[in-house]
Amino acid sequence: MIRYRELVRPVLLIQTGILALSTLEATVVAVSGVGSPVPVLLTAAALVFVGSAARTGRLSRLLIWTERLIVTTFFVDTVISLFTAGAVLEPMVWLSRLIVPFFVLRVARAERKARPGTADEPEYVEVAA
Amino acid sequence: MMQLERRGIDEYVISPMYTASDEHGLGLLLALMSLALSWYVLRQRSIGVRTSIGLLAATGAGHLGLALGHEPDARTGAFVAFGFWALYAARRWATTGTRMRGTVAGLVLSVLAYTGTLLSGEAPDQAGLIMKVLEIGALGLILGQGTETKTQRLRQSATVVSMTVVLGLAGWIGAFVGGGHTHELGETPGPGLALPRLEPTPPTAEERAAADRLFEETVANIARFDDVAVAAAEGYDVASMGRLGGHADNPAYTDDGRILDPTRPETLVYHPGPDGPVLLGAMYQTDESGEPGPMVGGSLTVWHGHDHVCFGLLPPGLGSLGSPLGTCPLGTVTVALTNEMIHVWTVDGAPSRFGDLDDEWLEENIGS
Repeated sequence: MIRYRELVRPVLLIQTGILALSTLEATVVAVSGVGSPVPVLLTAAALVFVGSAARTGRLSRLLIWTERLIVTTFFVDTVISLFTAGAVLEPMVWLSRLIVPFFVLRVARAERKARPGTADEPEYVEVAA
Repeated sequence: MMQLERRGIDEYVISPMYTASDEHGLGLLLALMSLALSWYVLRQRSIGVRTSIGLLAATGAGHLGLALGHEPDARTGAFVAFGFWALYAARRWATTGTRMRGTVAGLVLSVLAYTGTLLSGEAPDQAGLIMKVLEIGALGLILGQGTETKTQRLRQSATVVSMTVVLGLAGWIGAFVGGGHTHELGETPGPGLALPRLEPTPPTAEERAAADRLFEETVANIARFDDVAVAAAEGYDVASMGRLGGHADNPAYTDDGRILDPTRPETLVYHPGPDGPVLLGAMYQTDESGEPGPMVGGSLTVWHGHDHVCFGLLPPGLGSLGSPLGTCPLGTVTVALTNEMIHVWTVDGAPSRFGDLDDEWLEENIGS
């Protein structure tokens, strides 16, 4: 059993809730006519990947790319913020957009290493039936 | 009034939803230290149990720390009671190896109590939100321990996901209800509105005269834009109005080094009326983020910025505002702080000349 594997499901469940809220927010803005549907679709897709991983315990390649996108956007936003507004310290931003995706990526990496024969999509052990 | 060269976001008052106040710093620090300490002390236990106990201890110590930053009252008493209860539950679990009865109920009640506070119109802050997310995390772990049946897994999923969503929704409600919208100095703004951190002072006679002059010159200069076609012919992007809440920018006037020039307002603001768009007024903007706008009329002419704007890239436009739970929708970048701006409302009968225009008045007098 990969270390920290036990924590993955609760973490992904929280991330599912966070992305569900984010999808709802983007939908409200798009429906009100001032926003675009693209963020709604992208966030909804991320919600599906994360929700599916929370349900099955399988850390798919799509999930990994979603987490990478979230972390990358966090760093881009942080750099933009530093140059335009100064440092912004928000614990929830660090948790949702850095710690959670980084944790999932770390476990996924450990799983890949533990099964060198199946580099990209190892056969995962289901957390439960 | 003294003008600064450039303002950082900490020189603005923004919604408490995006900040952790100084008096909550101790709570956050104690929570972090308790989590780390529990992890170290319980290193022989399984990861799940170790983390559950750590999160319980973190929220317990965090609540005690938050209580120290508050005046003694009923709520502070509740913080202290919950803090001691959570620490006791964590200690008992760590020493006996058995989870105390009522731990799940206690955590659920704590999250629901906070949600109720938000729904009653109190704006959330980052310390409160993260403490509740830690509790939801502890709940998820506890409900997941030894659960192998479908029903148990469903209960775990439904509890964690629904509580996270409800917490976020309550956060929005609290932030909007608890925040003001008048753009006046000294108020606690709603989400996305950044007001300069300045003391409100009564305007002097000179400032009143300057505010009157700005208003009259703006009225005289933009009257011809009642006709949208004229605005379009002079370079205002009226086609993008729908995406930008009735705001039509003129690219030639933005970033032109001329701020608060009534002959070149950066933006015109329209509202849909029964016979087409109605000109509400103009909006002046500074050239750069954090650049203070000239408050020629003192506290009558307060400039504002927007913070935590999730800006969509495909196509460019608003994606959302930063969520209480720290995210922006995917495909957007966070604009931490926009340029400063000020609206001048020139439409007949407008209840205010500067700042915010009342939505109810708009609906009653112009249309939806």
